[in-house]
Amino acid sequence: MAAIVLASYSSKGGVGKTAAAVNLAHVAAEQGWRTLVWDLDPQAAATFYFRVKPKVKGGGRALIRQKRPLDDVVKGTDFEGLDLVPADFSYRNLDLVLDDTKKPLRRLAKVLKPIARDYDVVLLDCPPSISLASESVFEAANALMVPVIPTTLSVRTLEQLDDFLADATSPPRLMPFFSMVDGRKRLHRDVMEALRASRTDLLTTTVPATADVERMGLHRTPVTAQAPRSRAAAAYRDLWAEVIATCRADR
Amino acid sequence: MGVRRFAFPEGGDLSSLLAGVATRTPLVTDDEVRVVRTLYDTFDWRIWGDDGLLEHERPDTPGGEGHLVWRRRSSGEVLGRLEIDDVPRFVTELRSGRLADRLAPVVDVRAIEPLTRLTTDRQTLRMIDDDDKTVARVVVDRSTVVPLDRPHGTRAEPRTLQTTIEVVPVRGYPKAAKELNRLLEAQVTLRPQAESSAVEALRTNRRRPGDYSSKLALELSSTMTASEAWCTVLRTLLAVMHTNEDGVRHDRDPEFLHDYRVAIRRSRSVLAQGKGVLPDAERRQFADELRWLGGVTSPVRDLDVELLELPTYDTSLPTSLRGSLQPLADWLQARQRAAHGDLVAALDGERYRELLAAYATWLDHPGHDPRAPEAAHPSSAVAAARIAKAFRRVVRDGRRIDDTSPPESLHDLRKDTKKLRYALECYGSLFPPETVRPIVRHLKVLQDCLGEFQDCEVQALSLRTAADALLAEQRTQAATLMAIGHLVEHLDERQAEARAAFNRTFRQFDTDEVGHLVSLVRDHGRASLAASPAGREEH
Repeated sequence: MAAIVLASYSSKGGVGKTAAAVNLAHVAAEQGWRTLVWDLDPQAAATFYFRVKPKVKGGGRALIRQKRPLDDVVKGTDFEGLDLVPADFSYRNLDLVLDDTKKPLRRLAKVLKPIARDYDVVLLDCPPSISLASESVFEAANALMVPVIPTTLSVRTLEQLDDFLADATSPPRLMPFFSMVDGRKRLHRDVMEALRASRTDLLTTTVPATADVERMGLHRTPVTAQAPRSRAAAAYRDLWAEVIATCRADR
Repeated sequence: MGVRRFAFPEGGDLSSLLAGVATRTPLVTDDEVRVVRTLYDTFDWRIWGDDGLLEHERPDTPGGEGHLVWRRRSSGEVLGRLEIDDVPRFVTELRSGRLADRLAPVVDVRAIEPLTRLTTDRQTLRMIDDDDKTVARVVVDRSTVVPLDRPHGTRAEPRTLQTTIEVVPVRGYPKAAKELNRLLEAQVTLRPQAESSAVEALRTNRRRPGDYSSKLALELSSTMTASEAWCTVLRTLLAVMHTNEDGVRHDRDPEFLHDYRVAIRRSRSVLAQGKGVLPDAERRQFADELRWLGGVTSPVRDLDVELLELPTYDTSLPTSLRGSLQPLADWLQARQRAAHGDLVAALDGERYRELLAAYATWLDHPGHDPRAPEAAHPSSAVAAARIAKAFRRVVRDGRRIDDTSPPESLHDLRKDTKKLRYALECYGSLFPPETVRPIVRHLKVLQDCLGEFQDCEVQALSLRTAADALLAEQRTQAATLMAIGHLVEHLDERQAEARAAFNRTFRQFDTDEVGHLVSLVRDHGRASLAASPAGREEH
């Protein structure tokens, strides 16, 4: 049985994508799922959180063209059962590299295939864009976890994604969830209420905006490891339970 | 790159050794933790046999979370982990996930049982890089072991195990682990150690890894007389019954009863083929008693088989009927519990106790009987004759079966094939393996076909009985009856397929090749008879 491939994705930056990828990966590994994170974002935030050097021999080109198997560049993190394919600055040119291959949309799935046997869960931390690389992610992933800040702009990006995926032949399951939620803000509450009324695919768990998550950069460790009893950590555990239950039901 | 392990000598100065290593490379020392580790395997060591170790680890602190960890025994590679506090008896009861999915085919229907428990004081030193990233670990384990399966009435003395130092590489950082290995290899007090403390703990246990297998491990010697060989086989089979009896009584898993029953059937077959070898009156008496015992165990086994089939039954149903077999499951379980109660009562009874005692005494001193003229013949001569006879019967009865033959003829042939199989398994060690093994291989294909034919019939019949009973007890809904109807239809189809495949399967067994192999066994037996005093006398 191949791994479940999940992508943490949004075309908008700063919505809590990497925090979701890193913390969900840590929760999954803690519960015994053998987990691999691939940091596809050249900004290398996930790689930074795991204290790994953002460098891949041969760069993204060697991986995408399968000159170097993914297996070769995997780094063990400080957590049992949790490995990382680090980011590399060359990933900024991933679109160009993909464009230069046959069937670029299927490429990422093909690159992942040999290693997917070794893991239960593969989490892709994606750069914020809608590009050829994102489309290749959509092909490879079983589901897209889409963090949505309850603001008008963030909701608009989700609708854009709906439109974009409407044309796809076999789109991945969408799992939007509210992220960086501030319950004191009227706007957040209103937007959440309205969106819940209009769509059925929203996950019930919401991730709060807390200082613990902001401090991840300081500690360079998942909040679920650094502050396991925090509100944020509890939210990520709930989120994981919801995500994995949905994926298993889909199978 | 796997885990490298070193043994640290008793009485040595561990802290100065580690301090010495730390002066050469940046090491961070984590707080020492006490971990309670329990090792699990099936009764017949399926996980061990698959190069695995299954261990439950729990930090000995309030609120410490336990993990079930499945590792490759040879490399230490983690094959699966699962956060869990209490280990269930069956893998199917584990939280559904990859560990459960992958371990299930290894252990199959067997229970996973605790074997031994260690308390380990674990010190971890982490080698870090300039980002404070862990790049390799040194793990020092000081363990004591308390065997869980101590003989009844004895007190378990905790035993201190070898202190081990392991270098655990972190994936993607091979240089760091190499450096640590180099530093530790240079320490004269350390010597390489192949086994982990978990494996050492298992070896101090009363039960040894691999000490039980449902495959018959019999090494007969050609210098034995037939009487000696027959008694050796029967004693071995009696020991198998003894070994499985506790598991049968406590219904630890269905395989105990299965193995127990196979030992009974093999024994009955060996006793029947012991005509002319063993004293006749006792031979018949014990054969009768074992038939009684086999009969006593049958109801539980039949119900076990049905319960084991339930998950497969459920998945074979149309989606709309899935999950509707629960009333059937409840009914089967209740009957299984009742039947098991009857079985235990029989095992506690006088008749069983007397049978075991008298049988064991007789097997040690079978005595002489003028009606057993082959007792002193060479074992291989008699065994070869029995194998050849059982084979002739399979061929004779099989050739008589055509498309118009009644189902009973296939059932009878199945019994013939079982007798041949038991003979090959029980006396096979007297003959060259290259002769016996291919016969068994060919026979197995035929047995599978006949087994499928009969199993389908038996299962369909039990399902009909169950449906009648559920209906009579007014404990069922239409969906359950529809599901049972669907299953019976499916079983009838499968049985028809097995029937259709029979002729071809039998022809593949009834070949010159198999006939030739059996004649080699027979010739081997004749030669050993001719060379023996008994054979020379006859000439």
